[in-house]
Amino acid sequence: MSLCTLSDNTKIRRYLPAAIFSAIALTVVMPIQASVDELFFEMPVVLSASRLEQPVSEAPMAVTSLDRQLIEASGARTIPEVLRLVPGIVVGNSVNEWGEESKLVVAYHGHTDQYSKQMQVLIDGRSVYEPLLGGVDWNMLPINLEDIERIEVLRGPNSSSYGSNSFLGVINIITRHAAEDPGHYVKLRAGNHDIADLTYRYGGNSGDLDYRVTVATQNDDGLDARENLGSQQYSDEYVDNHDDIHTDAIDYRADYQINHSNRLTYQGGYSRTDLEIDENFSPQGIRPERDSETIHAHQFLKLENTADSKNTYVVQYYFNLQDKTDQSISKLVVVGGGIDDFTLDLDFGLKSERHNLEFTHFNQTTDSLRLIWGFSAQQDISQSPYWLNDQGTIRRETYRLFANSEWRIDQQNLLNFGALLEKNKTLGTEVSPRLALIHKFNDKHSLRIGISQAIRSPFISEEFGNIVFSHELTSGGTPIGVTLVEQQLVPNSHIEHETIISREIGYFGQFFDDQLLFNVRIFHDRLEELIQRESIAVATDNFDGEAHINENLIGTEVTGAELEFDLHTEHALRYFGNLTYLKIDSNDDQFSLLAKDYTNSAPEFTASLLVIKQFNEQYSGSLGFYHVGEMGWLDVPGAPASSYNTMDLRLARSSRESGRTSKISLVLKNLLSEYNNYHHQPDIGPRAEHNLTGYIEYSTLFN
Amino acid sequence: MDALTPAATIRRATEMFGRLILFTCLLLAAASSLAAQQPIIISTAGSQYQQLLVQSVAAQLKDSGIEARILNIDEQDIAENSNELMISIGGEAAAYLDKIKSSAPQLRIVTQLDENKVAERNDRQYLSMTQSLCQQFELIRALNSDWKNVSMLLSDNDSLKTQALKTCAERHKLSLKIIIISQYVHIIDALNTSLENSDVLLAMPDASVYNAKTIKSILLTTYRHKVPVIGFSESFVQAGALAALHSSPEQLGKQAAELIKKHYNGEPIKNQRLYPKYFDIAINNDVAKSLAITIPDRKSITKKLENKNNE
Repeated sequence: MSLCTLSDNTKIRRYLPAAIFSAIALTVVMPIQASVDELFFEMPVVLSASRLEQPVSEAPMAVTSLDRQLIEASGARTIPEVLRLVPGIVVGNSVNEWGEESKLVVAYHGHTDQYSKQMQVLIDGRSVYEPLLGGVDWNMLPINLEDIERIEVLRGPNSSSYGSNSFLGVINIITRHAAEDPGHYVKLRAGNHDIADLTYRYGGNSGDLDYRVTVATQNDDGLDARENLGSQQYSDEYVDNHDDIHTDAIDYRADYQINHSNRLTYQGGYSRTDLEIDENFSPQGIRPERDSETIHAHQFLKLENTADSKNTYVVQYYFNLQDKTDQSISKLVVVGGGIDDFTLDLDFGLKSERHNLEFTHFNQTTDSLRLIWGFSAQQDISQSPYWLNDQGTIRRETYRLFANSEWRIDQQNLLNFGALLEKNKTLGTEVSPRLALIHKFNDKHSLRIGISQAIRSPFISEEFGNIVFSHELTSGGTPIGVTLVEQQLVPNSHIEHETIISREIGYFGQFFDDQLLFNVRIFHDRLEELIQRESIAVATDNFDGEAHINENLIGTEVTGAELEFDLHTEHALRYFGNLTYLKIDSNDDQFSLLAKDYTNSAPEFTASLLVIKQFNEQYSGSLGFYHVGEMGWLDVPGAPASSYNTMDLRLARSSRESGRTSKISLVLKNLLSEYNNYHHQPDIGPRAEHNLTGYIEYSTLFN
Repeated sequence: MDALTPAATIRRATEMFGRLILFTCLLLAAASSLAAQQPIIISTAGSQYQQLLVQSVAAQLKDSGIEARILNIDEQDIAENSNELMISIGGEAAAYLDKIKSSAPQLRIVTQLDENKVAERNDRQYLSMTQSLCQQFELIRALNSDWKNVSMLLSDNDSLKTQALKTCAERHKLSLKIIIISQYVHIIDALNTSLENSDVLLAMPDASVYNAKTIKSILLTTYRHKVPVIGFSESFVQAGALAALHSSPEQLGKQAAELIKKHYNGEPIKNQRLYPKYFDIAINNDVAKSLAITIPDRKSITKKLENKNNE
């Protein structure tokens, strides 16, 4: 009987207390009623097959996983600084005398210029590899270190899982689920080099929806230089290079639990970077000092269905946009002979987009067989008046079909086999297979033998690049009927993939009650069809009669060993370190100079060690040491960066009071001496150097 | 055949009448006894788990010829004046029995037993849906003998409970860290503190700590710390816990039906607190693999736990 039917006061008096009691009782017990089901029936699948990390001991290749403690303790402001902890990785700042814009470059096993085109970089499965120029614009990625859960670096080719460009290695950045960061978070950073950063994040929840929004601004004045006094002498005083960088970014993520087995993730981001670009000192340099503005944006949608304990399906779509504005007037071109001097309108701007749709099925076929397969379609769209001249918009579609299996032959042996088929209209169809056998001696020790084949597709400017400057010459302001044409790059419709075959033997061991994790590998990589620029005669070029063309020119062999350890002691001490030995050979008689550049493109030895100490509940400290041997980047041939050692220090004090967790830290970088990590050519221009850098960080987290 | 005298005839008739009365009385008594075997099962209509459990108990009683009456708590008035055996399922139904001050014998099936609570009456028996926490410590030992440090999140600071838990952990040679979440602003802060130097997080069915809203951040955070979670339901394991001892509605229903049948067969409900004797072990092999934990095979764990149960 409903209360609504009560018609007299007697009934109301009789039932009202009971009704009120019932209402109160229901108010109190309803959550319990809901919770019984929540506890036993309706828990959402959180750690699904697609989210879980593969243990290092069972991975088909060498993996370095950088967790949040390492990221924070490194004192880094940028992701490349953190990556110095990975065996074989070298970081460079490409600002140099040649006037190219300041770029952060991450290279694994050399073979790299300022575009670092042989490394694939993924953020939550979204490739941020730039389709027009290759590589990754690390300075401008709209991602905050605070939002990163971990960074996994797959050392070695992995095209069988991630497609072309997963060539020398893959950097996989995994951000945090929105539910992990509730409340308000503010981080301030200020230091020399005009460092002024601010990050604000809010994480909230509404029913089954968890969301996070991060806004940030990051600013500094780049590297410093010492004035060239001639005769390889430099002043003691530093002057600021024209390489200031200012980035404002917003990044957001929402995780919606549709029901216990279906989850929708939506991410987006937008950033604007203003970058000062130094003038060009190269012999034919016409590029003046100028400023550029770059917009990065992305949208990412992922639907995940955990049908049952054996099947997970993922459908995802993402869209990346890069829109760079970089226009200026060239330096004065002096022709002589009565011809008027002139300038050129320069437009180094570019716009590129990537659309990618992918389906993946994770299947536990039997207790001993696990299968991951899927397919994807990708479209890259690029425009650039400078790089593509009059070709307008270039579109490139790529289709992929992939399958990777893990067969547990018995308790001790695990076989990994995978392959990816990739089809591209102009580059044809390629298959990238991989095979790895892991033998587990016991729970603590395992041995891995693997072979992998991968490709790197030439990026759009390598295939379609067409750089031409032209100007109608005048004398006394009157056209003389001659148009000066300087062709710098011509397209190559016959260009092919670079290829690599990598063989390795790896060992993984756990010692001292698992306090020490240790892995080592020796490897041999054979790289072929490497793409480099070669001179070519061009009849239409009446300036110097020649231009460059990207061609598959050369091959190399890389042999080496990498060692990595992670030691946690009982005294809240952690040592995370690595040592790499690398040797690149290239004996190409036809391109002997180029072969030498490749041979020198990675240091023979690199090493790093990060020591982290938690002194007590409040105080912690870390000390990072990095050694990089002499090496030369491919775009500055004959001017190798010298070997250097550097050290960073971080001291932090954290406090927790009345619902607020705060941390204040001091970071000092480049403590040992100044160094240049890209280019050393003493007789030209100023030298950009890393010198003492310090900043104070304050962060607070509250509800 | 001798001819019956009138007196003998009257005596014979009287005897037969007496037997008839006795038979009728016995028949009535038997009928009365049969009519009393109609236990009342009270549960919450909206709960899927409880409804499955109700169906399981009722079906297994029916197989033994006992027809249970099934009520939802919004049909309260039916149970108010009954002295039939009451089987309450879940906290809400138990609260209802308290509210109507039912004097009937009761079997209360609850999410979790409060071992420190003294039983109110002799004719009230409790059956837990989940295993004892001591049994959970046993499971931890069976899963990995290297684990030494166990942490737990509790919603309230009940010193008797925490002491009992610690005693139980010590018995299994485990060190237990208990964090009370009410002392922290956010459950994640409490969790981060609890996971420091912890080998495993043991979860207990406390809806203030573990619910659909918190489970995501709890499992993600524990995973980030590489600390496995021992849950209490199959659903929890599917969500991302490493392992759990759990009883299905069928298994719990079987045990409840056995207790009810005993009640009607001369072993009435008594002051007792019972844990599920029929249970399974759920293991999330993906999580185990990802955390590089080698789990012994399920049969050997079950055997170990059953042996402990029988000791």
